[in-house]
Amino acid sequence: MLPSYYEFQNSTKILSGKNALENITYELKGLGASRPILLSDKVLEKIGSLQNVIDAMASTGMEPAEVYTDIPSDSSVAIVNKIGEKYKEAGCDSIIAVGGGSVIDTAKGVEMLISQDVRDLLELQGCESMTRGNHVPFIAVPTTSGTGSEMTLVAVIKNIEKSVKMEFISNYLLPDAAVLDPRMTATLPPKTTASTGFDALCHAIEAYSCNQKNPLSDAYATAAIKLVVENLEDAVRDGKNTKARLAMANASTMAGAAFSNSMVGMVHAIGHALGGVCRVPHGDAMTILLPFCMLYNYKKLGDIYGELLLYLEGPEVYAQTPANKRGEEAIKSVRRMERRLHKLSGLPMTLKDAKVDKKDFDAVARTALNDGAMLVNPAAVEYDDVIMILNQAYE
Amino acid sequence: MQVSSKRKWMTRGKILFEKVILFFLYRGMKVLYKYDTRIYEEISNWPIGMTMVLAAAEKGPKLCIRKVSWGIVRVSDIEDPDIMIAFKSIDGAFLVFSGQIGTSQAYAQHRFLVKGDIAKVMSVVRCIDLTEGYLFPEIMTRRILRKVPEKQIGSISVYCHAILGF
Repeated sequence: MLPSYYEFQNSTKILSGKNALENITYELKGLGASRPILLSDKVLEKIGSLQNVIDAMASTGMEPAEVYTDIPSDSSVAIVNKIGEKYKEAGCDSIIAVGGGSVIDTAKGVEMLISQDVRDLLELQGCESMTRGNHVPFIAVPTTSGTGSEMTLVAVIKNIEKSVKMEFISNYLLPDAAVLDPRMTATLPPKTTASTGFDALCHAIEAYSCNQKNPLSDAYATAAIKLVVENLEDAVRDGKNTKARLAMANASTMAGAAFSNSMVGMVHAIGHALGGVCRVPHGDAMTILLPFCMLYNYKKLGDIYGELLLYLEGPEVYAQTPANKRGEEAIKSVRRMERRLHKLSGLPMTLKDAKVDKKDFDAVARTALNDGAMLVNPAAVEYDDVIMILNQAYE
Repeated sequence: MQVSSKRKWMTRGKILFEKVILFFLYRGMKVLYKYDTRIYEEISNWPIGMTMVLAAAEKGPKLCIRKVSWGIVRVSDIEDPDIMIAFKSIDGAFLVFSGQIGTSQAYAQHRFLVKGDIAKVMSVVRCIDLTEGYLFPEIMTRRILRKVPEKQIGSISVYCHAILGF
């Protein structure tokens, strides 16, 4: 059914497959850039992923004007400002982000700083309040298959001085291109592959069921779910399986495009809080919370979850399941997939496994209620509801 | 080309209506700060001096609020507020102020932009939703709110206090 009103934007060009990295130079030239700053982290530098990008660029006639790899797992305003200065000092004209969510969010921060010409990112905090500003060519090369950050309009950057996590939501944060090359995820360990892959599944399921859903985001979400179901376990079993790796990179990107336009709901709101308060890795939090939050939303979303059974289990199971049982079966299907991944990689299934202390539940619940994602969750969520879900997910 | 007179009158009507709703929204929140524990808790958590603007459009009617030690006060204008919720058009704001859609749906439909800390915006939105629960009839709140809040004081009482201003 068409919503009475919706908006959809997905302007990022996708370069997916073999030798995709080798086309970065061409894309940058097309965008009128020749002196990119290359952003990444120490781990990717050490394992050679960054070198893959530098080699691919050098072999096609372009070198980065500056390389910065001191990006921690939580991007911060201080880092963004430091990179902004380096960008200007080196006379850069574009940004390439090679990494996971943190590196790409940092790159979005730098892009904002340069394009909006502001001194303090705090001025830009908010949702859809930014104007385009000066165009800074921006290419994202994801190295995990989960965050979908290369396709989203959101950036989260910590302000350590003021102890706040700043959220920026604007279509002007979308990169010009996203490069999905199977070489970039080949070294991800099985547990991280499972955890980030489940994050992609969660993005897709929430995108398909949140208040901002629309026919275009639905198309991306269902395609992503199908790819995750068909490829995640193969990618966990055999990291060198290029086909599965590329499929997961695509799933993550599609899920990113879906939730960038329909947003995510309570799973992410509570998951963000668990990350902030208890340091639970984002993908692990998604894995643990998803089935319990689906159960909580079931009264409102049972039919919508029922539609997802087709993509989670295929047409035969879908056809054999009575219409009024499909929603329940979809939740069971998610739980079964979790168990298989737990056996394969040790993916945590409970908050106890993730070393969460029950005494932190109060802080998690209060933080979760102030997360913007709560606003688009179809069912109302209050403090006691979050505590109930946390208790259910504990063991 | 000029705006048609029909459209001009409709816009004027909507602006007037939005001014009235903003008046009751402010007065309602002020009253409920005293009589509803949930609104009291939300507003109490705002830092003293926090400023908030709810604008029906860039140049439309707006509600400018400052947090003070005894609750909230309405001020004529705030240049650089800590929180800004601004509808993209008078017509988008009208959908919310006339009870056709709720704040959650308006957000989902990209009807407004937000400046500032989203965590604080969430608190403001909860206050607006709770106040709407008192100001709008239940037939409307059932449709626009995800959960109809339990009332801790009668709606008529809220209206009386709001009109009389105490």
